[in-house]
Amino acid sequence: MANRSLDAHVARIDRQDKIATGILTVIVGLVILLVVSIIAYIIVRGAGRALTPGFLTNPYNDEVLPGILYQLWDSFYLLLVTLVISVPISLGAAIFLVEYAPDNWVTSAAKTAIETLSSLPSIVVGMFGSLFFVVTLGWGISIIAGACALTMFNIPILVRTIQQALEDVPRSQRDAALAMGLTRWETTLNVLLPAAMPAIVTGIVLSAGRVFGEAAALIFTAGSAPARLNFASVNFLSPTNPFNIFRPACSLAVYIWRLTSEPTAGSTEIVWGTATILLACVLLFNILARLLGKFLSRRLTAE
Amino acid sequence: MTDTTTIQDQAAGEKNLPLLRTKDVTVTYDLTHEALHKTSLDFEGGQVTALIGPSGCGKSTFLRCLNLMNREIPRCSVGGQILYHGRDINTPKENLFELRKSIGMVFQQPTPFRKSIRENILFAPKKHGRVRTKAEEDELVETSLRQAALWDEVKDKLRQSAHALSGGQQQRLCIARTLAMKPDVVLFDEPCSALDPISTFAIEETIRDIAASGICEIIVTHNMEQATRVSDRTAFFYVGDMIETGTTQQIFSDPHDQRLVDYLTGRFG
Repeated sequence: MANRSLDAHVARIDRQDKIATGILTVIVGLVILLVVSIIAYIIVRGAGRALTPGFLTNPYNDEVLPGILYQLWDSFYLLLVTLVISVPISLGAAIFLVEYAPDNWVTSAAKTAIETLSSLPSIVVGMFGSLFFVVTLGWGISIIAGACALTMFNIPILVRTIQQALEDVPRSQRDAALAMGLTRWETTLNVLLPAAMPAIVTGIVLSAGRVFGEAAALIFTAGSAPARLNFASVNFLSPTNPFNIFRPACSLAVYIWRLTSEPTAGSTEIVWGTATILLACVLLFNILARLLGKFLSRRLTAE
Repeated sequence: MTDTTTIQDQAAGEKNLPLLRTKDVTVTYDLTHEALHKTSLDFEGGQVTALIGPSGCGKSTFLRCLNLMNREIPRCSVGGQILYHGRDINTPKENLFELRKSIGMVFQQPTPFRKSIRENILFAPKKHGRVRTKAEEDELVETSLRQAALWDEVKDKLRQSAHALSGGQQQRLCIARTLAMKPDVVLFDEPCSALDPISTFAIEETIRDIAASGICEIIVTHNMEQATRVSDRTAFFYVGDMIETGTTQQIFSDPHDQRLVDYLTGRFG
């Protein structure tokens, strides 16, 4: 009697387990299908153009085969300037919040502010950037204004990941260093940061992927008109100098937006080609993040 | 050792005082919760003192006061006096960083840094500017590792990661790292509770050897056999009070307090 009810119970649990596993498998399958089909669609439509020799190396105004050289350059340059500004700030903020911040309302207000910043719509960040950096500070539509807008967009993500990375370092490491008479700062610099470095680098590269594909925050700050660049220029104040941070710039994502909203003859191919390149870059960032993280953590633990 | 013994030198004249003495030390968390009531104990150089008692009795709390590690815990306050070489260190003016160079600490979990074995030893002495030349570095690494009985096992892989060592070796590396600071007091917070019996034995031997060199050691342990094996004196803590103290032999063979008797006979743990 007891045995039979136990058997029935086991059978029921078994059935429930199978149903749950089935449903979850289907859900995961759908997610994978979604990602794969989006990527496949973009690649099918854009790979032909993306792989055409010259697409990556021709300027947008090339008569025979318009390319995306300037946009590609601007995307990477914007990313670089953004990271140069946002990484030190985020690192400092995260270290402060984890290691130094007293447990009071100012700290919790700062944490809430950072979280709120991360959920601000990027178009709003762009509007603010346009009013503040472009107009009030008088930088004009420029790379530096765009990079500052992207920084606002990037800081919450970075602070979050760096904070997490630092918090994941075992408490005992911190105690051990302090117990050897090291100051808090020496401990942070020499023990915590090296231990957290793999996770921090991974976080930075992943955030780079997000920044790289951002469009809305850039339209009003860095501009949407394709720049004319002269790679031979040595005058850093010239609007055609690729390194001039006070010139307008158009990233890949913004270029896609612009060509889609103002189509011209043959622009559809360019849009899909650009999208494929953008996608490839973002995927590359993700792979790079993993590899770098693995490499660093192996280097820091095994060597 | 010349420029490294600043605190020790300051009170070198007062030979009759115990190396470390606590007077009515009381620890309070969050202003209201008293984790330790008036505890007074003396610790001599060359002596190993075991702090025993059930979990939550205040022994680790007490240990952490001795090198002011409790300052790292928010809202923790310590009353009473902690006399180190006759000087009260329980004052806001005390230089923690200077003090912790002479009162070292080894923790429950081995805590090697993500550096090579050699760098683990040299890291703090370098930061404090105690080693300058390669020869000084080599010598410090070797003597410290020898003192912790680890030299023979690692002498050929000093540049390898400390994380590649076994748990017991890591713990001995942490002891070596602490000894490299040339402390005269070393605090152990359950140093063997994460280790296997063989490593535990090796660490216990190391603790005895270090005591023989004149260093004062204080060890928190849950393991009664360990207390009898390594310590000269024992103090029993119970619910925030230091109940009884004496030579280890007396505590274990002739305990006076009923709570200590109950604890030793395993009536609570």
